Amino acid sequence: MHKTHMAERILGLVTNRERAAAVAGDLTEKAATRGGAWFWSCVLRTAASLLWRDVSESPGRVTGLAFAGLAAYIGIDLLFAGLSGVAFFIVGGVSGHPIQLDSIGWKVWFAAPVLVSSLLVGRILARWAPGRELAACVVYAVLVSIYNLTPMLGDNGGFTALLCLLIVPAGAAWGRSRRIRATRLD
Amino acid sequence: MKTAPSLGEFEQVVLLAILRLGDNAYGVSISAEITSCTGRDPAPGALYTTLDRLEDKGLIASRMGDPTPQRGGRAKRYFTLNAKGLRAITHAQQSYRRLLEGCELPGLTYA
Repeated sequence: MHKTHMAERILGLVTNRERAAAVAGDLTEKAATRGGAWFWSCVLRTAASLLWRDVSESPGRVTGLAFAGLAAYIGIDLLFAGLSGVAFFIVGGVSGHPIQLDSIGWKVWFAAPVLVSSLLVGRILARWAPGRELAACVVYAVLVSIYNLTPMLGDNGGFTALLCLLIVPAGAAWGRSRRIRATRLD
Repeated sequence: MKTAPSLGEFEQVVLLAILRLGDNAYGVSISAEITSCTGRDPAPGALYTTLDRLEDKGLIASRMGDPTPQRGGRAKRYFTLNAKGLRAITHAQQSYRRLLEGCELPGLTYA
């Protein structure tokens, strides 16, 4: 992928398409005399600045959205816990076989909701915060990491927290691209 | 009389650079103008967030130019000061001028 195109995609996560294209073009023009390392450092620093602006301009709204996302995450978690109970009953009770939680099947069963709920919450946040998807997701990812690492609340797993940090923005990018596509069709 | 919006120091620098550049004010030229006049090389992140903020405040307007191959086929985003922006920067500079009156700064002659 051409570097300008990739930079535009990264910047497009934190600002609108027109502005992202213009900034990517400016940095490409300047990079002709300054090199690739300068270009990528500027792309990342600019994206971080724009992201921070979104959070700092309306911290209350972004935090509120993140808490709403956390509530959705806990809701999905509880739903999954209920489903797990039913699954244990069917596998253990009906079949009569002992449940082996370290088997691959159960590992996939326990990892799936983290992936699915993170992706769904990212998409929900993208719908609730058009134009500020990533800001809401970053604050949400911090909240959900605290939740997961808090004894008696989450699963106390750093791995889950890391998964959320990676997958929630993917869900947000998915929701954002759907929104942009829908706007273009209108 | 309408009160002019308050401006930060870097916002004033950016507005003055846009004013100096006239019709050719876009990201790269604004950055170069600031460097040549102040000796500061503004961080792109700071410059673009400031430009967005000034536009959101209604002090500047932007329009898209034509795409060029030197820019990877991306268009330039040109900025112009509008009446509100001109009033804001004038008010800010008048405040500085009043503060400077009667002050003696080394190497600065102030009439």
